[in-house]
Amino acid sequence: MVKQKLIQITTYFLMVILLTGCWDQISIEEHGFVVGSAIDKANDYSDENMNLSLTNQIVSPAGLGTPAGGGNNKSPFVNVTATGTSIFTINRNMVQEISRAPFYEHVRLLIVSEEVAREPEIFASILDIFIRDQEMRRGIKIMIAKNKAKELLEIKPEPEQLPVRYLDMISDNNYKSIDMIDPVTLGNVHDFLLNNKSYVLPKISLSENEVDYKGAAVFHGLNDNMVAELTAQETKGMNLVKGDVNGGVIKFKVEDHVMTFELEGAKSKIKIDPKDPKNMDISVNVEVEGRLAEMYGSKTLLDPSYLSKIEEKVAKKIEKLANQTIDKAQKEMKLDIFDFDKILKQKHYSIWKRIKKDWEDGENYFANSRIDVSADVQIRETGATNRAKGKRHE
Amino acid sequence: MKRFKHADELISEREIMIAIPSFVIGVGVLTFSKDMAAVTIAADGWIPILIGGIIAIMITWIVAKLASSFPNQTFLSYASCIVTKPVALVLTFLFAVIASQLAVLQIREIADISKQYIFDRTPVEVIALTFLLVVVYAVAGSRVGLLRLNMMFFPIILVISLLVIVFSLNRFEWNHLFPMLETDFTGYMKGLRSAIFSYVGFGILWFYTVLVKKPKKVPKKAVIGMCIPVGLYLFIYVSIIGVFGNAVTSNLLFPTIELAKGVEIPGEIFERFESVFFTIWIMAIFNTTAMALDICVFALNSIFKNVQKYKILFVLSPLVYANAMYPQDLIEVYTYGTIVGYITFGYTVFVALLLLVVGKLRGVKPIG
Repeated sequence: MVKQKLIQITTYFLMVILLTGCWDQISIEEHGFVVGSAIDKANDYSDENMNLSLTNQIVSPAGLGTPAGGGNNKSPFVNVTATGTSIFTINRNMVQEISRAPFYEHVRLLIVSEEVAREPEIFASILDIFIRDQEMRRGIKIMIAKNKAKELLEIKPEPEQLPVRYLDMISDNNYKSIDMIDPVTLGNVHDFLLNNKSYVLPKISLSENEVDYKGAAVFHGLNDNMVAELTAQETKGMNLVKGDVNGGVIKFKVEDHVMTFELEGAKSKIKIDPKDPKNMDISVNVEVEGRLAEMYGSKTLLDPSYLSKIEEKVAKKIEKLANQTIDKAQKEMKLDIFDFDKILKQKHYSIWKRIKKDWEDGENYFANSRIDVSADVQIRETGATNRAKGKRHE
Repeated sequence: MKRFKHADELISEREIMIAIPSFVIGVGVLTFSKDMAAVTIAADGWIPILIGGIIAIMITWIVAKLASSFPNQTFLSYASCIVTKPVALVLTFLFAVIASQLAVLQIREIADISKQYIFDRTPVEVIALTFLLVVVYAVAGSRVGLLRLNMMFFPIILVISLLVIVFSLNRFEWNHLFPMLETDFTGYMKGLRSAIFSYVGFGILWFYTVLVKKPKKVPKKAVIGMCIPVGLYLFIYVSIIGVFGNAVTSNLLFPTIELAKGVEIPGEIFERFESVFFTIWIMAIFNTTAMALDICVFALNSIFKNVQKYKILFVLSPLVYANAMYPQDLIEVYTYGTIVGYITFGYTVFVALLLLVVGKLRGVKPIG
């Protein structure tokens, strides 16, 4: 009896010891939480392949502290850089440099320098590991840095403590501006790459320690590299044509008075007549709603004819902005950055199947199509006051 | 150790209704969208999913009708009535083999996927063994208990799956669903083929119907049960296409996992929702595997009546384990899965037709 009991107890003890446990156990302190990565061209060319350098921003929780501060002088993050010919080998090299193995589940941001992005046939290969690896998320935002991408991870932002968090939040502020494009995620880019279509990514630059998140980088779908860029003004035009506007400001002049129109939303209706692919008619109608945010001068706004005059001026300005960008897209870049191809595919599938090859490439039907932009503006309100200054006696 | 005995070893028809979707929803739910998107345009895959579902529901009904017209008889005994004992023995044995292969497949795939996404350094062999041990423990217990476990797990599985869909709605893009109905006929047929595989599972009715107290109600409840996976698959497919678009979906190995990974709950109160999804989904696979293994034991037990259930199980488990570890890589597992899918579907339909036709010809009257 006693012997049986003993065996039983021993078995239970062995079970408790052997059956609990985790093969893959890593303590949370041992994880190097990567929040953002930057990819640059490395200076030295050791062999024929291009050498890349990857910088990971790793959070060091000891430095984060409480919002109240508390006399902690440790930096909240560490940047680690390693070089190599493929991202995966770089990663393995990086393990030798830092005590905590990089852990990528929390990456929010990937910045690629323009220098790397302009190299043909490499961009997709760089992104491959970010798309393929199970640790990575498809929601990682991608940006193109004008100069060194690494520098952007070294800024000292206020009030945020982490540069990556700062950049992440800036990109989310796009609802206040039409100079920027919506943040583009890795998942979106995967879609673009699989469809071999051209696309735009947000551009970010650093000048005298100030971050500038404006404009966009245009990527060629087939050649898989960055081929052109859009200025802030051109980005505005593109956003208006796409109807991709959540807010923003348009400045214009009425009778030599500067006025500011605040957009509250824009919708664009795009109609494509694909009967003759060589000479397609594309009509874009942009409907804009908003309010007059600021006006110089002292004319009354309650006068309907004056208000409609202002509306007309805003519409003119929008058409001008849009046409500028369309001109550049058709004549210089010859790339459809407005996603007209999507509309063709969705609404005119049988025709799209035939002309797919010649849309941006080959015959380039896109560059030869006639794009006509018209804008309708509706001023919903004019603020709390009619005018800020009394009329001059005439 | 004393085992708890239920008052009766019978189940109600509600348990059968839940057993069907619990069995059908297995590893297939993670991969079916990929195969479907690859052969159809935009979101057209919903048509094969729906038609395949209707076919599956019809077969379910036929099987349930047949099985329930012989109340309180096991598959072996009514099959013997219809097609003579030797043939019935062979049919039962083949069912046992097929059920074991379904279990093998589930074990292998859960081990592979868990290694990829969760256990980076744990060998596949260890993951598979751990999983198999839990399954064996479940099968060794009461059969009715296993079916009651389904009742407990299934609502959770359903709720979490629906949550994944709801929290993905903010990333849903309507224009991914267009153009509609542009897929050609061969595309639909290919889609239908993979859709039907994802619904394989009505075979459990051959065996579990005998446990039901009121077999008359089985056909209706079984059909309702089969409707659940059809609806769920439709929802999941449309949301995956809406979120990722067709091109991306057809290139993702496990679109449903990626969908769960992308979930961001507003307010950032809960990150990494996929950890919940994984847990729940492993419960779903557990149900499928346990039932598959149980049916295998059930079928063998009806052939070897004098052998204890445990003995069969303990001989069977090492074989299942060795079989699960046999395929060498992802592609072999995939091919193996396709073959097993074909055979299971073909065999279930074949048996149903055989029993129906021979039963009619020989004029075997259902008892009761």
